[in-house]
Amino acid sequence: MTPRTIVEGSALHRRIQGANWSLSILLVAILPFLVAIPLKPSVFGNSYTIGLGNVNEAIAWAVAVLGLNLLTGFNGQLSLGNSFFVGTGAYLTGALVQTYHWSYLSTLVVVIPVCLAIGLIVGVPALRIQGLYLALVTFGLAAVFPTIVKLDQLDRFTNGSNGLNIESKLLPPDWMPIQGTLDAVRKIPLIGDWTGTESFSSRQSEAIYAYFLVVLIAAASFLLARNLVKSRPGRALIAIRDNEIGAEVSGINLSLYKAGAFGASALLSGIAGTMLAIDKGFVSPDDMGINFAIFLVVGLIVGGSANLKGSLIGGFAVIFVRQWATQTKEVPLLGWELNGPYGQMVLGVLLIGLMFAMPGGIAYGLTRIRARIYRVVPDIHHDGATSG
Amino acid sequence: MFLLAVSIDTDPELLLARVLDGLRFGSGYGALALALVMIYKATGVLNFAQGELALLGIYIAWAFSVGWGWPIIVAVILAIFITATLAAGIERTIIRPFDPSNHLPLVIVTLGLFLAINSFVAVTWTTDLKALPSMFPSGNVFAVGVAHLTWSGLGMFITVFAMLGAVTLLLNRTKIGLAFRAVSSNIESAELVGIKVGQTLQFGWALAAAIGTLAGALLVPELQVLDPNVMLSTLVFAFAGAALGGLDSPKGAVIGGILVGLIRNVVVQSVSFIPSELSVGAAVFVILLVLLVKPSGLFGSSKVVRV
Amino acid sequence: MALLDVSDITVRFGGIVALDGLSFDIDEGQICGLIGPNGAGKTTMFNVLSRVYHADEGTVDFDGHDLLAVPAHGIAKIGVARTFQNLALWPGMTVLENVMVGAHTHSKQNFLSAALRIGTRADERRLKARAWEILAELDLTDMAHHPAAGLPFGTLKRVELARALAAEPRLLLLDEPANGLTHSEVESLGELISNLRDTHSLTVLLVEHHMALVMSVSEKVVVMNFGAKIAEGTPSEIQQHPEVIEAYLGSGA
Repeated sequence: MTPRTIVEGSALHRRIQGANWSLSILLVAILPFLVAIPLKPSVFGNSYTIGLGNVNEAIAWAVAVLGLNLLTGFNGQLSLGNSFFVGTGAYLTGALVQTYHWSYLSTLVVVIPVCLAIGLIVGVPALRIQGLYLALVTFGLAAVFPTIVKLDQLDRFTNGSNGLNIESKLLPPDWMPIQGTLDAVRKIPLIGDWTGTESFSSRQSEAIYAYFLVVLIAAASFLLARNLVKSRPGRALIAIRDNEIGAEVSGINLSLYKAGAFGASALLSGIAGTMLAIDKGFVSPDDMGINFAIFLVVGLIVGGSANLKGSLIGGFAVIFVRQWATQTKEVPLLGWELNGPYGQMVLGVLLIGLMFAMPGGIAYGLTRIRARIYRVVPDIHHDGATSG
Repeated sequence: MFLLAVSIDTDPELLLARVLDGLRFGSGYGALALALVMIYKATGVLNFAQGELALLGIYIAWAFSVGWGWPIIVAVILAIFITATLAAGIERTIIRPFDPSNHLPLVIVTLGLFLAINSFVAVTWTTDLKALPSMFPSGNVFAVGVAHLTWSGLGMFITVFAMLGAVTLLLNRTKIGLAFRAVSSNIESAELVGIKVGQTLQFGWALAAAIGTLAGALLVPELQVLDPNVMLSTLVFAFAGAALGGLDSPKGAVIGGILVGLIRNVVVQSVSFIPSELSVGAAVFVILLVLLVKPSGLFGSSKVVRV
Repeated sequence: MALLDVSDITVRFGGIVALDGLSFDIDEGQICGLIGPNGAGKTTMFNVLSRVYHADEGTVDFDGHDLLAVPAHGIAKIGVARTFQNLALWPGMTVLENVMVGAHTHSKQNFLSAALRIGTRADERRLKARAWEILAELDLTDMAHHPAAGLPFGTLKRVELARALAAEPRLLLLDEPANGLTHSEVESLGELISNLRDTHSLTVLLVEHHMALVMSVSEKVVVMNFGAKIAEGTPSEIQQHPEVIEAYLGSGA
């Protein structure tokens, strides 16, 4: 089948884009009301539960992967230490809400500048440390984070190795028609039957409110990142990744942009940390170590490096695969009974497999599939004509 | 506010105890650093899965010795052969297909191995704490107050240097060692003179895994814990040792590892304002400092960057 | 008045003297050919000018600026652009984007203004329009949206030229532009260089092995051997110069 060619900016292209947007917004609006009544899909005979909490966690992870993507995917600096920034964001939010009774969202006022500053501080020595050596230093950074959190001197903010339980609840404001929307959804044929008849518990209402918060923050983060990568500084980051000398003689200040990439990456990672705190109400030091940092790399590669949609896919892939493989000890198809959950093993194998089969990640694979149905070509004449 | 009063313990017995601990653990870090250096020297890749390959070897040795009741030495030797074979297989199947000059994808593959092996160990042997018996007799060689040198500590120290000697001989006196050195200095020229690059690198992976397993089997009884996370901080210390000694120098790896052990046990423990929980932090600081000030380390060769 | 004044430049790599007290100057608007046998130090001189290599001795004056005091990323801003013998493009971007990055110094967007899109829309439109003009000039419009990866070498050489022009330089350094081109491409290249010099008011320093090209476009030729200048003059003077003939043909005696 020959793919259909659609000119960018044409009426048809705009219609397709419009349809995509409408569908996405509808999905985002309705999803929590469906998922708050947990789905129990069965994949490879391994039935598991997706709750709205998992969706929230995946969205937070998508932002964390996005942060890594700016640094590693777009700028080519391999960081194995972004868990440090995520952890900093999560603990700052946790401590400010728990100890000083701030509201969750207001903690961003502190998280954003602090993580930006830490990113820039890390970014400066990183200028002198090339390639794999940088991976080594950042790997160390990831290893150090849990030990810093567990320091006695920080215990009253972090609660040490027990993890920080944030007691303050995330209460939805009165004007949010959460139960009302569920009642409305139930009037829709087919879908309505599926959602049952029970009213939302307060925990479900909280999760739905948290969902809207994380969606809002994630949308803003992705929008800002998209603006950035499609601009002069974004192109400079890619130029540095692809050929440093070429970038330098074209007037790009390598130090400035590499440190900037670290700062932007840390900033987004810190925001992701706040989102994780909002979702879980709990932060634990051992969740924020080396494994977290490597899971972020899994998300980056599996979703698609240097691809913004890839970060979204990657966040969901990591959380959903882990969730799927964490609720059972039985290996599907083979029927083996293991001594523990094997989500991490699946992610490791997935990472290696993707490096072989699809180095561009799932996002690239989806683009290839779409290209078989239709392809969008830029309108050279229109584009060129604006040159005036 | 914390009050930071700088004070340094100077009790000679305590200091001796710390130096002995530093030498003991440091030789273990040095041994794992040696494994890292073997791969780095040959391929230019940092193998982040090196610690986990050793972890797998340690658990295999545990299964043979504690599980089946075989003598620990036999169990360790078997574990060394099994992990070396496995590493050779890993090299052949998931490392060799990648372009050896493009390091980034290879490092990402070792990260995948890290996750997969770590998780494999956890689901096979559970995350419960275990103990691996030492290969050496118990008891002290000598003891002065709190300071004491155990037979196992001495045995570990000697074994690590014997291993370094064996590796040096292997590299300098054998045909495969010559091929290894040729490949590590220039892959393309080695290929042109008819060296089988793939097989040589495979040998490097197997050797590194063997060294790593022995390092783990020496170190874990000294640490007195065995769980699936035991090699994580050890890997950071080993990386610090390798960086300090020079990432392409076998001798530097062992000496660097010992220095890092001394830093961890003498410096961090003796200086009051450094919390001892920050020993991993001290290792990371060493890595950072070396890479900023002298990236070739103490014994490594500096590479000329050409435009 | 010389636009570029190179005097007594010496570069050593360990014990090897790659450039040995090299001096020459180029007048504004001139096309100057820099020739010499392989290993004479031509590319080293280029790398000194574009601040990729460090000069051990000597000075370079560019239009009143002490060029050797300018950081590598600063030369584009004062009006020096270059191309590379073996290309230094960015394969992950389209041809259009490559050329837009060439105009990096002519835009003020930063991380914050770009992320928030404060005043970037008009700036992007301006950068894009400028890039389209240059692409049209070099006959590259058809592949504007093609990624730089996977295009033929000859095309990429032109893309690199387009990128250098986007910086709106006063001095353009061309490192073996004819290298890897077909016979007919080389012929049109000479014409292209002359035309670009006129339309963009350029001064051009040309390192090239292709003697016919150098002799046809240059107003002045500098000949190097073993890191030092052995002759300087108009193309016809150079062709007669005994030392040049010897350097190229070897001492026949």
